[in-house]
Amino acid sequence: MKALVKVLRQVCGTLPGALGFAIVVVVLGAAIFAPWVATHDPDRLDVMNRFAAPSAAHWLGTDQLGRDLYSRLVHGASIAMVVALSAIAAALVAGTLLGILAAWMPPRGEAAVLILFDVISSFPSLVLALAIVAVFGPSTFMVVVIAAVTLTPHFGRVARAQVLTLRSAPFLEAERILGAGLPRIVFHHILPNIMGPLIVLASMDIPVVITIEAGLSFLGLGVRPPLASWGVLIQDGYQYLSDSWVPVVVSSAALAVATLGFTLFGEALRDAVDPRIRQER
Amino acid sequence: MSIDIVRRQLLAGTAAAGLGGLALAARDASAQAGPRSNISVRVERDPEVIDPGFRTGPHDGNIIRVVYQRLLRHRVNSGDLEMDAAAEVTQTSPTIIDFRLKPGQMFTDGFGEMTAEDVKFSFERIGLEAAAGGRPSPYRGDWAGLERVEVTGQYTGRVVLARPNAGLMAIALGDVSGCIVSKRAVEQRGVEHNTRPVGSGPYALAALERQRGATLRASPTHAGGRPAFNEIAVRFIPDHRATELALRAGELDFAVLPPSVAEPLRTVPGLTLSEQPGLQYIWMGLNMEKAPLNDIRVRQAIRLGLDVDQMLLAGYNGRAPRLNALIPAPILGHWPQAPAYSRNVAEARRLLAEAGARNIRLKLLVLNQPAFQNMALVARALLQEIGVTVEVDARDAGGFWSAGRGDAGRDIEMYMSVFNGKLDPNFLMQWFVSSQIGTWNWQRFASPEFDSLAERALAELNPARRSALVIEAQQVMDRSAAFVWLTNNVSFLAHRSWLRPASVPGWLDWQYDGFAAA
Amino acid sequence: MRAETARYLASRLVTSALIILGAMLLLFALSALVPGDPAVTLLGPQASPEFARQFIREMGLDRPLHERLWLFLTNVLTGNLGTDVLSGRPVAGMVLSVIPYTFVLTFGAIGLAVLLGVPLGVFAATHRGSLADNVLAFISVAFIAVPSFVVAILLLLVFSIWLNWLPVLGAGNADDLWDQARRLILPMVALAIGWVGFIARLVRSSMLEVLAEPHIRTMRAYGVSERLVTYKYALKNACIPTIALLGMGIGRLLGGAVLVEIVFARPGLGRLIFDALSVRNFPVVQGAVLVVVVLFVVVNLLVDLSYSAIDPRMRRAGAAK
Repeated sequence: MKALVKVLRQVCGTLPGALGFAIVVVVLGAAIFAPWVATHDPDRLDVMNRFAAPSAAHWLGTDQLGRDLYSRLVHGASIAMVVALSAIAAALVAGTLLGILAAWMPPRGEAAVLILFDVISSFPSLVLALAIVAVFGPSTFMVVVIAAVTLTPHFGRVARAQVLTLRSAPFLEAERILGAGLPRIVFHHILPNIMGPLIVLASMDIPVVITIEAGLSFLGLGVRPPLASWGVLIQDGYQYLSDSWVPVVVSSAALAVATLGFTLFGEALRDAVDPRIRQER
Repeated sequence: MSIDIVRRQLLAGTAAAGLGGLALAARDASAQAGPRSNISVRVERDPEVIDPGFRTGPHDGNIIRVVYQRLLRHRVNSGDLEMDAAAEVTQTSPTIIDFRLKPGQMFTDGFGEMTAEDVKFSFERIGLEAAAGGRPSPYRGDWAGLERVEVTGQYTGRVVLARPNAGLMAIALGDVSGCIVSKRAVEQRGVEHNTRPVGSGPYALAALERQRGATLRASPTHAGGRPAFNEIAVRFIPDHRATELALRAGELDFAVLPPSVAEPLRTVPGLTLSEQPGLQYIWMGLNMEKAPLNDIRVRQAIRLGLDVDQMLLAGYNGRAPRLNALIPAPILGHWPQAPAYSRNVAEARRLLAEAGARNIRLKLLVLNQPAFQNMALVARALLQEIGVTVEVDARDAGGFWSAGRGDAGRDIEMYMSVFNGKLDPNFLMQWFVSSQIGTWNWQRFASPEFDSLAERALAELNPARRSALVIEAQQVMDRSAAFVWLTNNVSFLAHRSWLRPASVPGWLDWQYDGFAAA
Repeated sequence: MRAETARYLASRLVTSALIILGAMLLLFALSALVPGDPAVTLLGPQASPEFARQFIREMGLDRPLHERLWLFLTNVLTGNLGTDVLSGRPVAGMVLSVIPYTFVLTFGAIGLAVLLGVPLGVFAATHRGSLADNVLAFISVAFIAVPSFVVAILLLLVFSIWLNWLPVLGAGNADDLWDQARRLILPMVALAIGWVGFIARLVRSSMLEVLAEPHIRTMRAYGVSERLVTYKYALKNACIPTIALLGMGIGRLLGGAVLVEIVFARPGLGRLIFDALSVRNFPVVQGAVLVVVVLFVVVNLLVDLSYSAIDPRMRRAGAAK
């Protein structure tokens, strides 16, 4: 806990870090407290009152179905966060396991895992996304799956590299000589030691997932209507651009500010935790 | 028995449709074309195949109709037929149509003069079973009942039917499936003929580029009048928004758009906007076999729980006319007294209670296009109030159109769909007969009564009697409560004010060769 | 030394081939699962069941997976990418007809990014800690963070609609270079912006790293001019990671510019795949994806090789990888 406070203090020590942290807090706050922060039910239709201009009742006006734009933006934050956090958690677990496995396997097995990572990276991710959506239908869960699959190689490569540098460390040699089994070594020594860089990487991948989600939703392949993801809001706004430019500009801005905030925060976090890590992309 | 029957019924249709502000344009208007000799028009889909037998949709069809000739064609801006390649077409009996070609109609690329042999080849390759190893045409249904085409002279021949087909003139002879190809060119070019077609029509295909579209150039060999524009660029722009921007920027002269995108163009100087009810029909279907929708009271409750007008407001800015039965007004057999159900929450709830259905959760399958998604979301909100929870399942085109086929179709609950219509009632009815279950009849609406009415209507050449049969068939559909009719769509047409577009009523079948300067 | 190089080259080639094979396996596995067929998707109710079955037969979708993969691979090896079932046109021709648009857009965007990113990065590195450095750092992050399709929409809104400075649509007239160039500007900028940020930051950090190294300090001590140090020695070394990034970027952009292509209604490889997959035209999807994967792998192979040529230390790291 103390360490966390220290890291956060360090993050906020720089202007970009502080700004990033502030944006992250606002987005997370909006995401968690969406039902209270929002002024309306984001899915409540009022077709007779479509494209209402911003007013006291509707701070940012309404969309093509008369839904309150401000409330939809706020709920969009929850969707973005749920998708981002679960996709990254999934990719983190899968990538770390595969990465550790690769580092421990005989060369041929290792090569196989690395080629798998390369296959995923070289494959156009949109094709993967389209195919997955075509098979299982669009849903929030599928967006999570797609983002997780795309990001797994990120974590896998970093985890493997970390394990390789650790493996020859004297304390591990000693453990092995003392007869510790693989699970013990992994859980007691490897994981705690490689978690730092991986968590930094995770925080830097949050904007990547948000962008993937928005892109898929923009193509109509993302979350299922009526959920108010930012990508859906941008798509709706773009389709009705000539009725009102407010929705598209406001939702693009929300998306841009959020990704910017998380990027700034992630980088400040990286500098605070371990200045040597470079983002692997 | 003559072509006049068909002509009269089509005329009646056009009168009912109204022409939505389109003035008739003279076909040979080159003198008035002014400085512009070329125009660019938008198509929503990439032109793929410029061969009548294997076209991939109406966007190909529009190009095909100007590249080739047919025996009869629709007059400019009319559903009425006139002679095209034929000098004479006579229906001598319900199953025999004689034709005589005009002499001197030349195919492009040196493929010579059109003969009755070419006509026979063109009709039979679509209308008859394909030879072993050959690819069958998907449009065989357009020629339903064709037995053979006989060649009786260089320019004369006879179409012989096995049974009468009242829709043949409008659907086959006068439309894309009746386009006449050069037998020699098709045999020589093989599959290449799809993209390097040889026709005798007013335009020749000058270029066909992937993802960019087609270029049409006035054909030097065409025997009829010269079209008003020397060159038409048919540009493929999938996105409505990009189309709107291109119109504003003056990069495009003509486009059909959905109301929400088109309406703001009204204020753009130099652009003219007009609207017309369409021939497409859009409805919400309920799977009659799937519980709890297999209980007619549940289906009735859903029909009463919806507010079609509100759905149309959300989907089409309220500009699309409401449809209350299958056949829209311009087509023979329209049922003007069809019940327009209005929302009745209390009655819907009572029906559900009576059916003993509680906590109903249903999936609503739609295309992932804005109009459908918006309507589905309104339907979801409306049905929530009668106690039905709806999950909207929006699919891309590939996923959507394959969802109801075969056994997968048993699992569909509710869906919203759109089919293209033609100016013939049987064309619209054919998808709802029992034999279409597992193919296109996703309601799994199995009514022997409807089947027999549809069959009798197809064979009935008297328009009044035919109309009565079609209306009766629609009453059967109405009683099933498996259909919630929404709209026959509305087309908004945006074009330069100096351009006069031309189309068969319904604005699906454009007549590029009839386009002229105002 | 030479044997080592040859072995490295051979192992990279084998891996590249395996990656392509793996990607194809993935693609075939996906296409075996994806429901729908082009006849039905395009023709709707007009596609009779017999016709749809015919299409499926022509695409070979009714055969077992391994047989299709084998057929596809043997065809590819003889230079045949397959045939579009709709028009009967060869897929190779279709890919060739759109690939110039993709190349122009991708290389244009990367070129623009280098042109802007490198000077910005050098400037920031040589003015380390100044206000300008901090502002540039912030702008770089902002450029990286905002998704390119959002940039595309906003550019379109401002420059084409509000200001009406630039044309909006498509790739322009085939024989009008000026027209084509003007239509390239906005999509190119939309794609390039993120990479400007990446390159500026990478150049800045690697230059700072190089400038801190002993031999540079020695050079300074010997009175080599600051200009020469910065531009000749430091920048040259700082370029190495940038090359790696470019390789990645080109590979990504070749198949990944779909959203920008859609917003600007431009033809391109990404959109060819997107359109073909939405109508389930599998032969076109297979051929075009293969081309994207091969381009990605080849670009990265070239980058790795040039990388190891510039900096032999990488070879060992690469071999270990």
